[in-house]
Amino acid sequence: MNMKDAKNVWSRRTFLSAAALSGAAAATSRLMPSKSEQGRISSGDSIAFVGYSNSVKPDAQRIESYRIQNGTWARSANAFFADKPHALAMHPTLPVLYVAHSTDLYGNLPRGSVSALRVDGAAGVLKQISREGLALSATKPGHLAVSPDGSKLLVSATGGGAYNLFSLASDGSILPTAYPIKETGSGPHPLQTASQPHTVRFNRDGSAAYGSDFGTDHVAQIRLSSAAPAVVNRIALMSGSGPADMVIHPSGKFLIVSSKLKPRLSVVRTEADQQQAIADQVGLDTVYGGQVALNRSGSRVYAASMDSAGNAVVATFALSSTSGKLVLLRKQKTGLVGRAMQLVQHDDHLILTGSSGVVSMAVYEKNGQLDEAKLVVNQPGAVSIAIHKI
Amino acid sequence: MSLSSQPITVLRTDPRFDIISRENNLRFPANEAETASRLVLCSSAEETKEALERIVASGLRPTIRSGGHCYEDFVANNPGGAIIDVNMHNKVTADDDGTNVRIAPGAVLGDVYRTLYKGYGITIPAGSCYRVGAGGHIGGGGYGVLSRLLGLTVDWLTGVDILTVDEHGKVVERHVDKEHDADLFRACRGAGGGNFGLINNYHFAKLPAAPTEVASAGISFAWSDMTLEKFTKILIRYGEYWEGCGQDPDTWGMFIGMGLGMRSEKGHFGFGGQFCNPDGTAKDLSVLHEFFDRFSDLDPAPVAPKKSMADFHSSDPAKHAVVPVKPADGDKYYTVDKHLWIDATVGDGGGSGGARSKYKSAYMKKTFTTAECAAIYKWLTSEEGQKQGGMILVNSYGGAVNKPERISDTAIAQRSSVMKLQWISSWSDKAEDDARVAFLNNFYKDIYTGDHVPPEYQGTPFGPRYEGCYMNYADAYMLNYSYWPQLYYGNGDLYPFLQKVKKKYDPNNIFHSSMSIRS
Repeated sequence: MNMKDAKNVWSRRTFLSAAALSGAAAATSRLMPSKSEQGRISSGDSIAFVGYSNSVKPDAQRIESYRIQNGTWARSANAFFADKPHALAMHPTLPVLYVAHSTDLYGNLPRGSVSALRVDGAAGVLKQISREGLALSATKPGHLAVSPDGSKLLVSATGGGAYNLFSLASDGSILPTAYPIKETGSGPHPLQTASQPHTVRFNRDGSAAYGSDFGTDHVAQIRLSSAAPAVVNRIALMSGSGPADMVIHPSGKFLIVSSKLKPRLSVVRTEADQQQAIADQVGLDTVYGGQVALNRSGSRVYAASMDSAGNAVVATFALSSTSGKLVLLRKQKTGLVGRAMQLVQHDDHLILTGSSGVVSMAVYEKNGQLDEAKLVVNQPGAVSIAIHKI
Repeated sequence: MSLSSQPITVLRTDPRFDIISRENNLRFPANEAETASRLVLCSSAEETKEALERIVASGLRPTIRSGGHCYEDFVANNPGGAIIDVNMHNKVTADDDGTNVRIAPGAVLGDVYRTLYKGYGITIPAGSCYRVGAGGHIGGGGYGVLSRLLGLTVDWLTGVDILTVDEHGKVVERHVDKEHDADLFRACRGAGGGNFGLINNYHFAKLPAAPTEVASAGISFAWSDMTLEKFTKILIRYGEYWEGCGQDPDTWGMFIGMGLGMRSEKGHFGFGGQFCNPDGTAKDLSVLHEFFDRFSDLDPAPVAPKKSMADFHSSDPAKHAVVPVKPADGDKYYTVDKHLWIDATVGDGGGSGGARSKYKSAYMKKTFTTAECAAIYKWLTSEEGQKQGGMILVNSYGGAVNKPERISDTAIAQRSSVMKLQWISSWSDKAEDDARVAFLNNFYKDIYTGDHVPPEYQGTPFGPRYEGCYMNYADAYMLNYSYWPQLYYGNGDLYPFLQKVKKKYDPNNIFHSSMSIRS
C-alpha cells in the first residue's frame, strides 16, 4: 500500500464526522474502514482492552473490550468496572489481563492494588481471578509489566516512590505480598518533589528490568536474577526533564525514554556506564511529552506529545541501531486533543489513547511512516490500553 | 559501650534471626512473606546513621525497633526490608546534678527508672512495663503510673536527636527542640514512632524527683453474686471519682487500674493501684482511703498485694489476676501496703516473653453511662466471652496530663480525659487469631454504639464523652473508619500540622506503617 492509498483510508472530513458522535458503540459502528484498508490488514483478530478513569465520575471507571477485525473496532463485551485502571498489560502466554488500580487506598491501607482478569472467549469478557494490594506506601500505581516467562509482575507506584514485584501463579493469578523497592530523590521542577517511578520494562530474558523515574530524572536498572531484587544502576537523564514512557529496542542495546516536562527523547545504552550511557537526546519542540513506541524492527521511534495548541501530535524518528542516533522524519497531528496517555504498537498499527478517545495509525512496515490517524473509539477518558491477540 | 564500630547485620539465613527478630506480639509478622530480609543491630548514633544510609541507598524499607513491643505490625511487617534494631543503643546519661538527661532509644523503661533513680533521684512518668523500649514509648507520648502526678513523658521532653531522610535521599542528623526545627520537635512529642525519622536520643533538661514511697491497695468483687445493677454502680462510681474528686491536685498521686475480665463462677474483678502524696511520700493516706471507702456498700473483698505496681498497669492480662483474700477479723475490706517507689516501679524486672495479642483503646472524658455498663456486662458474661477471653483495663487519667497548654506544644491532643481504657486479649494458638481479634473488635464496637455516641461516630469512642484512642495502643482495626486520624490526633489542627511536618521532613515517606501520618 502506498501513501496515495492511505489517503483514501481516512480523510479529515470523515475524522471530524466520527469525532462528533457520542457513545463508543455509535462511534465504532460508524468507523468502518474502507475496502482498501480491509484488504490490507491481514493479521489475526485481536481484542483491545481500554481502561477509562474519571475522577469526577467514579462509576465511569471501567475497562472496555473492543474486538479488532480487519481494522474495525467494535465493542464486544459489557464493561468491566474497575477502580482507576491506569495501566493494563497482557500475560505473554495466558489469556490474563493485569490491571494497575491507581488509588491511594486499598483495604483501608495506604497503597494501590493490582488485579488479574481472565479473558474469556473471543468477545473478551473479563473475570477477576485475583486482586492484591501493593506494599504499604506504594500508592497510585501507574504502570506494570509481565516478565517474558510470565512468572513475575513488576509495578511502578507513582505515589510512593516504589517498584513492587509480585510472583504470578501458573494460572496467571497474582500471589500475595509484593516485594518493594523504595526509591528516593527529587528533581528541580515543582512536580518533582519525590521519586515517582513511571514506566517499567523487562529486558528480553527477564533477568533485569528498567524503571523510568519522573521525579528524579533517572532510569533505574533493577536486577531480578537474585532472590532479592535490587536497583543496581541509576542512569541520570536531563535534570528537570521528567522521564516517563520508555521502550526497549529489539536488539536490547538501547532504551528509548520519552520525557514529559522537557519533551524529548533520550536514547540510553543499556550496557554502558554513566558517562557513555546517553547515545542521543532530541527535543520534541512541544509543551508536554511522555509517550513513545517503536515499529517492529526498531528502525523507527514514535513519540507522542502535546503541542502548544493543545493537540496530541506524533513525531517519527529514524533510529540508528548501531549508534543510537535519532533523526526526525515527520511530525503529524492525531486528531486527539490534550495529553497523550498511552502509545502502543500493535501489528502494523500505532494506537494512541488520549482524553478524547483512541486513534489508530497504520504503520508502513517498509519505511515506518504513519498513515493519518483514524479515530477508532470516540469515548473520553481513555487512560490505558492492552491488546490481546486471539 | 558499643560492641562494634559497625552495625551488625543478621540475615534471615542466620540462626539468630528468628530469635532476635521476635516481637512481643507474636502475631507479627503475619506470614513468611511479610518478614524482613535482615536485622541491622546498632549500638550508637553513628551506627544508626550508617545503617540508615545504606538501607535507603539500597532501596530497602527501614523499620525501627527499640524494645519490640509495638501492638501492631508497624515494624515486623516489612517484606524483604530491613529492621534497624536499636536495642543495644541504650545509654542513659545526665550531668552530675541530674540535669540534661539523655535517653537513647534502646533503653528499656526498667533500666531507665533504675539509672535515673539511683544516679540522680529523678524519674520520667512513663509506662510500667520493664522491657518496653524508650524509642517507641516516648515518641508516642509516654504515659504511665505517675502521669496523673507528673504529666506525660513528652511534657518534660526538651530535645530530640533524630535522623531524617531529605528529598535527595540523604540522611540528615538533626537536634530538634523549641528553637531548632520546632515543628518537628513538636511532632516528636507524641505523634508516635516510625513517622518522621530514626530517634537517636531524647533530651530532658530537667526531670522531676521520683517519689520515695508509695502505698498500694486493691479490692475485688465476686462474679458469683454480681448483678447488672451492682456492676453498673461500681463502674459509674469508679468513673465519677475521676471525673469529680480526681480533679483535685491532692489526688494526682493516685493511679488506679480496674481490670474487667470475663465472668467466671469463682472469679472476681476489681481494681487497685498506688498512691503517693504530692511530696513523694505516703504519709497522708486520706485520699486513698476516701477512694476505696466509696465502694464499701458493694460487698468488696480485699485482694492479695501485687508484687509490683506495674502489675496493675501491665498489658499482660495474667498480671491482672485478682486474688481475693479473706480479711482478718476487724480488718477493712482492703489492706494498704507501703513500698519503696523504686521497688514498686521496677518490680522483678521480668516480662511475659510475648504472646499473640490484640489491643484497643479509648479515652473517656466522663464516667460510664448505664448503656455502656449494660453493654460491657453483656459481653463479659456472654458465652462467647468465656470462650474467647479478653479484658478491659480501665486506668485513671487526667491530673497533670490535662494541662491545656500542652495541646499546642506537644502532639498529644487528649488533654481532657479522666480515664483511659485498654482492651487486651492474649492467646497462644495461631489458629485462634481471627476469632480472638474479631471478638475483641466486636466487643469494642458494641460498647460505642448507641445514643451515648453521636450518629457520625457510631462504633468509636468519639464525641462529647470521649477523646478517641491512644497511638501507643495502636489498633489497625480503626483504619476502617475514615476519621481514624481524628480519633488518634483529635479534631483540631494537630493532624494537618503533622501532615505538613511529614511532608517537610520525610518527603519520600521512608518511615511508614499502616497507621503512619499520611501527607
